[in-house]
Amino acid sequence: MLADYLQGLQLFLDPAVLLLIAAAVPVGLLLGVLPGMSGLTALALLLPFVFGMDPMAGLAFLLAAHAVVYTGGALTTILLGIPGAPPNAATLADGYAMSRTGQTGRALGAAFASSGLGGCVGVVALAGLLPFLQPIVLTIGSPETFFLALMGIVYIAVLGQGNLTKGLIAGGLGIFLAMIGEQRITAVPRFWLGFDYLLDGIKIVPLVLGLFAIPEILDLARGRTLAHQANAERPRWAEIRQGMVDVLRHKLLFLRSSVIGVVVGIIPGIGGDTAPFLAYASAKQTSARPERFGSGIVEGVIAPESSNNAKEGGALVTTLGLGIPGSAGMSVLIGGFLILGLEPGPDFLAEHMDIAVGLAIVLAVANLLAVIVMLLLSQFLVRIVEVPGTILAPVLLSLVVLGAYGYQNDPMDVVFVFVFAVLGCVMRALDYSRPALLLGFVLAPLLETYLHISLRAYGLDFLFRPGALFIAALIVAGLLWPLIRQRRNGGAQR
Amino acid sequence: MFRLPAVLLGALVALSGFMSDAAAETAAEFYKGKVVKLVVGYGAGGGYDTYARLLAPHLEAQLGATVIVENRPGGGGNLALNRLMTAKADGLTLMLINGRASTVSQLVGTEGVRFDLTRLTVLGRVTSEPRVIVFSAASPYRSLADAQATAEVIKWGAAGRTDSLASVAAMASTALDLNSEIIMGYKGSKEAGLAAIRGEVDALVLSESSAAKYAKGGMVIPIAVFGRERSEILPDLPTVFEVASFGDNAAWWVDYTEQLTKIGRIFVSTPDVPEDRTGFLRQAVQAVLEDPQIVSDMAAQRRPIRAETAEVVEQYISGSLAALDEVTLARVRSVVLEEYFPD
Repeated sequence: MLADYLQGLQLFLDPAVLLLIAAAVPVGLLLGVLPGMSGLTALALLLPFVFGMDPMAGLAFLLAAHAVVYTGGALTTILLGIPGAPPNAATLADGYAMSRTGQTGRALGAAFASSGLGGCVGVVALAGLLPFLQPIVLTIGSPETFFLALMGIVYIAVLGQGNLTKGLIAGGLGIFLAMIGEQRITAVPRFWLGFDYLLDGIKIVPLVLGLFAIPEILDLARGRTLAHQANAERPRWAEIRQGMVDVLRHKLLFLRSSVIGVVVGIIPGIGGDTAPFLAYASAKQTSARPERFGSGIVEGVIAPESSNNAKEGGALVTTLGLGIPGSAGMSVLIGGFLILGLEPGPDFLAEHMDIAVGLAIVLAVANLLAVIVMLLLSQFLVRIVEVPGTILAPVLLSLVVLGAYGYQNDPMDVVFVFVFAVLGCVMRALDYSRPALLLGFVLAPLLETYLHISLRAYGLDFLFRPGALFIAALIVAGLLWPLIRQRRNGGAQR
Repeated sequence: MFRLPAVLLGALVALSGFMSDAAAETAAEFYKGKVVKLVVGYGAGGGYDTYARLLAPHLEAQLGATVIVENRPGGGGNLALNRLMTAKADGLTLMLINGRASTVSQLVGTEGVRFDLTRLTVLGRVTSEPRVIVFSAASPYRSLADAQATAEVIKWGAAGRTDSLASVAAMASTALDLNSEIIMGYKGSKEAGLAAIRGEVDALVLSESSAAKYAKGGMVIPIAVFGRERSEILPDLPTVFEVASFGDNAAWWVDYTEQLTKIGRIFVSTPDVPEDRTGFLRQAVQAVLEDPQIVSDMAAQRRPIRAETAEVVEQYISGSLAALDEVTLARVRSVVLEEYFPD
């Protein structure tokens, strides 16, 4: 066992591997900073480069680029109010609000620190869980996946920015949008209007770009300058450091959010995009001051950003141990394994534990390296906000169009960015929660699919599986928590 | 007096030789320096994408053209195939398709299908993998006889109705007269495999390589190859014919499924590609797929090649589609779409 760890370290310390990590991290960060480019894009773009590489080097290269995308994405989200990648949308509410109230440095510091440390929690989970992989994965079946999705749906109301009805309407709209296209189980096409593009359903990248990016760009084009609100000063180190200290101050929140990320990452069905929303909602639900979420508080940045990076460690657990991808990005990574002549799965762990350990180290180092790079760069990058909006807007618009097109080389995706932009503008003007819509959109297919599978496979007994009961208890506890706290506080005052 | 016709004949022979040379040259010349699009109907990183990207440089060398792999995911590969039907028939657009899934989609008339495989220009088969029936180690079944004897419903895992997981499970259940139910909704053979490991489903139809992989961990038990020929990867595993007896009707389902399986992963181009270019493309594809170096390289990357010529693949396709009379077609549709899905 110890020998494996030492060999893993040795593999990692190969100069070629180190060099490739150093090359991959900036690429991943850049793709994160650019709206519309996600971790998936990073892997797909880099995959052709690994042909002929040494296995460890090739995998380190792919993994390092993929792992740091959301760290880069936080920058765009906080500075411009445009999610760098879909999961960053959860950071938007508080991160952007902080930036507009002159706390840019603090928000960035908190985002980078929680991203980097969250990534490390993911690595610790990965290293710790690999030996116990089988029992864990065997406990989490379709019923448990269904209940986790249910937990997410329950949180939609929490994301509703104070207005319960509006939150539910937005979530409902998201659920409706998710229903468009071929139903995953029966392949019956719904609401497709005889239009090929819709047969495949609404895709998340055009949806996020349209909902979040275009409304901000329109504001900029109308002459608003970001620096105007963000009290033009460049964030000083002290401010950034304060943000980083904030993460340590909110230790419990940070840990809980990271664990949510790891758990969501491990479950193959859920898909990582859900993690930051769950973490954000659970932070708000259990907070002593839930009403302040969305107004620009640092907890609203720490929760989603730590879970964002932690989930990659979780996803790698199932990917390495069973050969079953925990997220869309991981399935591309498995493609990379095969190209390099390796096949992840139980055999892989038995034969190549050293590579698994090496990859865990790569994940940790890439995460920390990304934080350092972003901290150094943020001093310069924040000057973006001083650029007049009328100049920034067309540049960003081009990037958004490029990102939407580059997603799947489909021009219709670009058209739909603008369709959703209309929706985004209306929702923003009328104060409906766009994250709630996104959460409904991401979770609806999971609920539908896993309820179907659970009922078919177990009948109504699925409700009484221990894992399912446990998660159901968590949901009830989450809902009752504010009441309990209120009563306790009331008691204390008396 | 006899010399003149001889000279004429000689000239004619030379001319015809020259002409055929010229024709071959035009196809080769046509491709020189051109850009050939190799479309994959799935996302980057999947099996089809990897095959395409690994083979593209070799095709480049054979064609003398630049080959660009383009991912156009959507509708399980069907959307890209629809587009191929109407693309320009200049032989510059190729596609690597899932032969079985496309054939089944066309066969049962899946909504949104607007392609006709019999009209496409088939260029050659890259590979095809026999299907293996596996049972979950957590299920009570250890043999086909167990499964045939039980009064319980046997649960099979699948993604969608017309994919390999579901369509082979349906046909196997018909051939073996099993009391089956197919549970759909898993994201693919990997997630369905996980469900079998957990015991959420009892049985699964996997490719021989996936079956071998899961079997090694002892997580699923391979039962039989669903076809007449044994698997190369699992040589000790019997075929269904060795462990069960079939009437003619039942055997037809096995043979029909095996024929669908043999279509495999194929290179195709648009309908109506000019004949000389079709010939040139087929030659190029064959040269790549029969190159021993390439075959062994691909095997090392766990992407085996089992090439088959375009002519044979065309027979498999027409045998699976056009050769069915209306009664049989209706029966196939009912088996694939309805009988094992209690809704």
